[in-house]
Amino acid sequence: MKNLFPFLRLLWPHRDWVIWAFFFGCLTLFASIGLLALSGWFLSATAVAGLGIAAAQNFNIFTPSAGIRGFAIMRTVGRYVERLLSHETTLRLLSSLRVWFYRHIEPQAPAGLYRHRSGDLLNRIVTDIDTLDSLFIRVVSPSFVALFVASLVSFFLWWLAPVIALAFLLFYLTAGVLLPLLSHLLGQQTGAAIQRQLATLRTNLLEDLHGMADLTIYGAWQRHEQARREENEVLLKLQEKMARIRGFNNAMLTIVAGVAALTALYVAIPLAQGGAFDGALLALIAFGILAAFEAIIPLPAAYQMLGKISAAAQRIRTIAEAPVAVTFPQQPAESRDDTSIIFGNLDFRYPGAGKDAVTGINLDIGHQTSLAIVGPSGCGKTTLAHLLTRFWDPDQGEITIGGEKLQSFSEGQLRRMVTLVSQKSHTFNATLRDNLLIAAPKATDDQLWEALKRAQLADFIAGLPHQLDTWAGEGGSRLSGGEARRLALARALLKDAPIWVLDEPTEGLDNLSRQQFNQTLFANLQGKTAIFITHTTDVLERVDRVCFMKHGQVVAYASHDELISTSEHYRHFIRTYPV
Amino acid sequence: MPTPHLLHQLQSLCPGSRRWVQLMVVLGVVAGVCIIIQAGLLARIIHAAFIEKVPRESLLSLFIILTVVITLRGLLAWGREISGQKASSLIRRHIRAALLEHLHALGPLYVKGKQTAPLTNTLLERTEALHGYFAHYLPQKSLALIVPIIIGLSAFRVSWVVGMIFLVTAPLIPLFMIMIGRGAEKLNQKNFTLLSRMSAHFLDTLQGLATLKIFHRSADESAKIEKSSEHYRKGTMAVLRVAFLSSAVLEFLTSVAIAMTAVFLGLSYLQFLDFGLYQRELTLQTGLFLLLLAPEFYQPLRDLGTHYHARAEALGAAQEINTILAEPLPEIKSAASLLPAQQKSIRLELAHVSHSFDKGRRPALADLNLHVKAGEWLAIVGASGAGKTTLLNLLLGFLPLQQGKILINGQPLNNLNQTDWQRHIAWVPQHPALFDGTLGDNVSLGDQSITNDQLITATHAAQADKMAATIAQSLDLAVGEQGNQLSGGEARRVALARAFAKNAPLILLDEPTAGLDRENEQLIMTSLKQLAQGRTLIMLTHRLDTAQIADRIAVMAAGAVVEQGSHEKLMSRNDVYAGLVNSGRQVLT
Repeated sequence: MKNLFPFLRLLWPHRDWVIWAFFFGCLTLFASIGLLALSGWFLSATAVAGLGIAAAQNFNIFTPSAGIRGFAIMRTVGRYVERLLSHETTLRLLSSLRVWFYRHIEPQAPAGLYRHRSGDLLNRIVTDIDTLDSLFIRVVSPSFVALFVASLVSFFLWWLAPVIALAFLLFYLTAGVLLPLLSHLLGQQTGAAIQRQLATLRTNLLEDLHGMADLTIYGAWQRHEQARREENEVLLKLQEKMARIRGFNNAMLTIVAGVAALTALYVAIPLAQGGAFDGALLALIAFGILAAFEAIIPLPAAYQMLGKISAAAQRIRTIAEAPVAVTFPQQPAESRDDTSIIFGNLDFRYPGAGKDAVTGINLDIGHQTSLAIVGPSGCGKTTLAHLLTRFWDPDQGEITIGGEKLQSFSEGQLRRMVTLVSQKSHTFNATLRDNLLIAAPKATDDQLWEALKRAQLADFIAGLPHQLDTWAGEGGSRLSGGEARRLALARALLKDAPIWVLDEPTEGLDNLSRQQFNQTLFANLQGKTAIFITHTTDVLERVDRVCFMKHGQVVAYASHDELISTSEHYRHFIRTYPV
Repeated sequence: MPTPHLLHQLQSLCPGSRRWVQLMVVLGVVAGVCIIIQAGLLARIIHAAFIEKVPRESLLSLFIILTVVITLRGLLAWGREISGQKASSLIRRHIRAALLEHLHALGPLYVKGKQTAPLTNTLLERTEALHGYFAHYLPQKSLALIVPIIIGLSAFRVSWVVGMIFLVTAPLIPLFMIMIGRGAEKLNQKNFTLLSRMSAHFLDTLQGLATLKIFHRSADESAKIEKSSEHYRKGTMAVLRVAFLSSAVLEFLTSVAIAMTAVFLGLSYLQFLDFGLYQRELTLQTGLFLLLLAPEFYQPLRDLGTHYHARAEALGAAQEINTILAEPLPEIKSAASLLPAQQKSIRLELAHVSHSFDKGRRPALADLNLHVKAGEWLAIVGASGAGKTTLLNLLLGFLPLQQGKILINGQPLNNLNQTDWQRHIAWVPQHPALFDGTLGDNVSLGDQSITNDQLITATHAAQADKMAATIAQSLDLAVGEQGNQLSGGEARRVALARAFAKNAPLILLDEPTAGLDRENEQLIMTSLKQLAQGRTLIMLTHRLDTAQIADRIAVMAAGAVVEQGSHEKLMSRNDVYAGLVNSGRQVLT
């Protein structure tokens, strides 16, 4: 429950909407109960009055019939307005939630966000936040409305006769608290088992589809298919069990509501006949109680949702409230033109990892020189890029640029100095112009075209019907791999930082695009300090120096020619690289 | 726009489910009758207690009967829930089985082309989404017609005016069903699109956070998120204001019917009105009975409205499911001849084999000719795009032969039973599929006919026993989901062990040494030499140093074999092969 407090607090700025939505929710149910109850009383009263001519003529028909009409309209309008207001509240909450989460995650990013390295994680965050959105509409609002109805009806019945109110409350609490609790207890394990079974089935189906070729050739598909059928059978059985529990809950709700009205009636009949109150109220009592149970109907679902929501809330909080890995000084350091970089004795281990990602790294990269860091995947190359861009800070040792410690630069200053082009450079689902403006918000179209020309993408974009207003698609899906890399390159050109880090910028491109891209790239690297992170042999001959890494350590650091003649490891690496 | 027809089609795949849906309708109708009885009894009790002043002790039997009726209603609701689940279970069981079977018949290349994640989603989540339609919407559709008719008739029997109040609104019912439908559909489509688009924007921002950071733009982005949320809120609310109207109208009708019934009856009691009833005298009992029926007349329709979203959801799912099930199967290969007995050795002859994709637009193989002798070790090299993978898929039986001839020990491959042919092949792909479980399970792949001794021998031969201290420990090693606990080289050694355990006469290898460190590379080459003993072995490779171990090298370019022979012979020809070798050496010199 306490996981929900920060999110309930987010409702505070929208309290006016919350209150009005709540007000109309209560009004609707009040009208609903009133309509049936008043109608029942009206019939009873008129039926008795109709027995005597005089009474019939003196009967004030207008007030109750106006009341009935009023309730009818109030119920309709109330429901409509309530639905609108509660959706309005939900949508406002949704907006606050996203902003809240983003403000928390932004300082941690990207380290905190990619800590789990699972592509699914981001999807889950978004799903979790979507779940949290329904906090008000599915949980808070129906609970309060049910509470309101309970008090309203109880007060009225208490005024008639306390014993009737007690009878009502007994059943109302049974249906509103005990029943959902019971079905929660009964269904908790089954519900969890269903989730687990779904997860198992998903994992195994993924494995099977992924390995269909292997399974087919080794004649194992039938066996696996059979196993999946059996797992599906278990799932269906569990769901049927859950349906029995749900059905039980529904059955009990119907029975409790009916028995509540009957019990109240049973208690009320002798009281009315004894003259404690008008017998015409008997119908009002029975009908009113039946209608009051309408407020209970959404509660079991609300409790179920509450479980889901607090699980989501917990996951979101764990991520959002994690400590910030890297902080920047507010004051910028003295700026300098020297862009020589020194990595001094760096050690770094990712949190929770079993071993160091890099150890004892010593590199010095001269002003306006180029360096390639190569090695098999997992050797720690990308970690060096992440340390230089301060996505992470090293555990030991330090990095300096132009003799100044990396930590003394303000964030804006460091970002102006260092740019990163990687295979993961993200193309946003926005227009090409917006994608470029990220690098230079104030750039004119002429400047954009200039950068595109240098990235050799201008001709392509000029040929598109909407040119710079072309939508890039989800994850840049409307662009080819090569085009997306060139877009990232154009961005880097617009930013024009003196230090470039190129983390596998050609990964996933075919041979021809790779060569063309590198051609363009090198043409633009004049006067820059450039660091290539790569596991291919493409750029080795074109850079000033090569750093060969293995198992998180620098094995050799010299020019390509020197390495060829001195390092056996390096020769093997080059030789075994596929043509 | 999908049609409900798709859902009928899915249901006709599983006729058994219809009975459960019918049962739900019957239970719902009985529950409707119970409601009428309940209204009658409740009205009787109040009438007797109030008008006739009957002491409650004399009414006890009525109280008991009413309790029984209410309990029966509860039980009927319970029964409906269970039957609904049964219907949906039947459907989902059937659809999942059909999907799996069809996907297997379509083959691994289809699955790879469609990607496994969305297919799994269709098999699991989308199939789950059918539940609401079959368990709730479908029976409710019938009930929304039948129950109001029954209630309307019982009202008519007592008072034609009240009956008319219901009846006047009755022709509006189909109209309102359409309205609810339209409203709900709009709500579902527009609202859902808007919301999901907003989630997508949020996801996009999170995914691009590293990029935003690099350009020092990430802090500004929260204003953008807020702006887009606000934009979507306004858009969504505009839709909702209209969409909620239809259910408001239904709500209004219910309220008005109650109000009109009450006022009509009240005026009749007071004798201001004297028509619309068959009885001479209107009793309170009759009046209360009619009043209680009024909301129940519309209840089934309102329930239908709440289940409407299930229909939209199921339609979307049905469309996806149908896309897969409607995919035509490649020509049937089951009813074909078998290779005589278990072949000890395999000889291959390929003559004038051509193959293309996308109806001839993308040629992959062009007039390929190749002979492989029994027991020979052949390496196939060539740049990517030369057609190596297509050739491999043809041999594996994953692609149908379009043109030319492939003879297996003299028999045409396309006459052979596919399963029988695949029994003769062991395959070691570049990225072998591993399954969550032990290493031993992954070697045997659940084949009970492989003895433990065979398992140990195979694992040892593939050098896969070196992953733990003893061979028994190696076999018990957990490989993790999709083998994520193993390195690429280790996974390939497990796949090699599979090949040893299968003991097939033909071995197909895809890039056995690509991307491996030296240690793994040597382990694999050692066991390959053993595997090649007495078997035909075809190996695709990029790596020229790996290719040199083979008896013969075939060089492919543009979908055909352009050169073949030993390494020395090919080098002396100084043509394509020598070119490949030299381009690889360029970096070294």
